[in-house]
Formats: sequence, C-alpha cells, structure tokens
Amino acid sequence: MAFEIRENVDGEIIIVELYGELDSSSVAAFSLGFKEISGKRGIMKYVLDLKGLEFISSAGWTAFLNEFKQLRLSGGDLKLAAMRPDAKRVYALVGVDGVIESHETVKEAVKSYAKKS
Amino acid sequence: MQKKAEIKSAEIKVDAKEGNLGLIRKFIGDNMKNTGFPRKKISALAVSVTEHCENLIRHAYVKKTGKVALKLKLKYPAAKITALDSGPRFNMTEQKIPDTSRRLKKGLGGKMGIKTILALCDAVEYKRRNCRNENTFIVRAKRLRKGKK
Repeated sequence: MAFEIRENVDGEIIIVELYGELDSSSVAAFSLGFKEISGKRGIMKYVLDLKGLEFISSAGWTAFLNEFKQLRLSGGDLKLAAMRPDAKRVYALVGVDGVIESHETVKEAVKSYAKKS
Repeated sequence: MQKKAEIKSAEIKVDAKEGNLGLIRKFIGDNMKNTGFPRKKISALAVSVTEHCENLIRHAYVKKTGKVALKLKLKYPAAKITALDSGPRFNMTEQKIPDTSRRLKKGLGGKMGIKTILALCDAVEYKRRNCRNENTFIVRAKRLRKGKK
C-alpha cells in the first residue's frame, strides 16, 4: 500500500494520520508532508496516528525522531498513538520509547496533552 | 496449508533501489503465508531483510547500481532468507549489537537497523563467495534450547 499522510484537528492538537508503509522509499514523502502541515499550522502539539501504518523501518523511526527534535526545540511536541504490535516491538527494542511518548489510542494521546498543560 | 516438514524455496532478484523494498516484503509475505509460521516471525524477517536492503542501498550501492537476490528457504520450524549482493564485504555476523537506547538518549541516531536485525532474528550467517556477500537471516517458529543446534 502506498504511503499517505492526512491531517485532522482536535482542539489545539493536530492529528497526523499515516497510512501504508514507511521505509526509505517513502520517508521523504512523510518529511515533506509533515513539514507542510507544521508550516501551515505552526509550532503546536502533534499526535502521529499510526493505526493505518502497516510497516515502519528504521528510516521511518529516524524521521519521527527528527520531527520530534525540531518541534521540541521550538516549543512544540509530538506523541505517537495506535501503533500496531510489530511496530511497538521495534519501538521498544531500539529505544525510541525512551524519547517519544506513545499511547494506545489517539484519544489517550490527546488527553495526555491536557493533563500536562 | 503447507505440511510442516515440507521444504519450500523461492527466489527473487531486483535492482537495489528503495522503490523495490515493498516488493521484497511482498515476496516474503506471499511465500510465508499459510506455512505455519507465526505472524511475529514473518514480520521479524520482513523487517530484518528490509533493514539489510536499506543498508545495502545506502552504503554498498551508493556509487553504482546493483542487484540484490533473495533466496528463501522454509523448513519448519526454520525460515531462512539469504540476501546476495556484489557490494563491498559486509559480514552481518561481525556486527556488535549497538546500544541504540543509549545513543538516542544522547541525541545520536543510526545503528537502529543493525540492532533490529540482530535482536529479531534467531540467527544470522555469512559467507563470501564469488565476490558476493551472502548474509542469511534465520527465524525459528520455536526457539531452540541453549546448547542445541
């Protein structure tokens, strides 16, 4: 399935939905798409909705980490949500779990922002 | 469904290009479907072979075009995929498991592919024959007890 990126808004939180497969062939499409959304919306709080993402390679995790770092540096934030079991296994294995927060559902990720502020 | 003792083999040869990574995963998924291997093990091979091919494309074939051949052999409970390439010598078995968690906390990226392969595969093997690398990635439906081959 081809990679796709869509955006949604829940109050002050921008939900970015990802579909298909994210590897080195599609990582540029993710970065461009995410930059387009963040450029339009500004520095805000983001949730990456991963339930439609069937595959993520290390190139994808690196792209998430890069966007996370950029947002954090400028006062924004990024959280992951609805990861599939295979992705969750690698997320913990390589240590992305020690850097970017993840939640079972998008709703929980959005709620977690409310708790913080 | 395939009988569990049956041996199944399949091969694919593609240009070492990022655009073929999906095709490689489809080859693995299609050939391992209904063979008795758990989804988790099929996924472990798909992730490992993708990571290996991404490394090949990024490092071995950066200045020249090349091909990667994949040979799959299923003999329950073992599933093996050998990736053959004509890039510079690259022996996966010589790689140490990197502490990527520590690297990420320090703000460093990289090495995630190698970590993933070495952690998800039950074994990796290497041969250099006819100027080609043959890295084999193995998963087993049942883990062998220590000391048993």
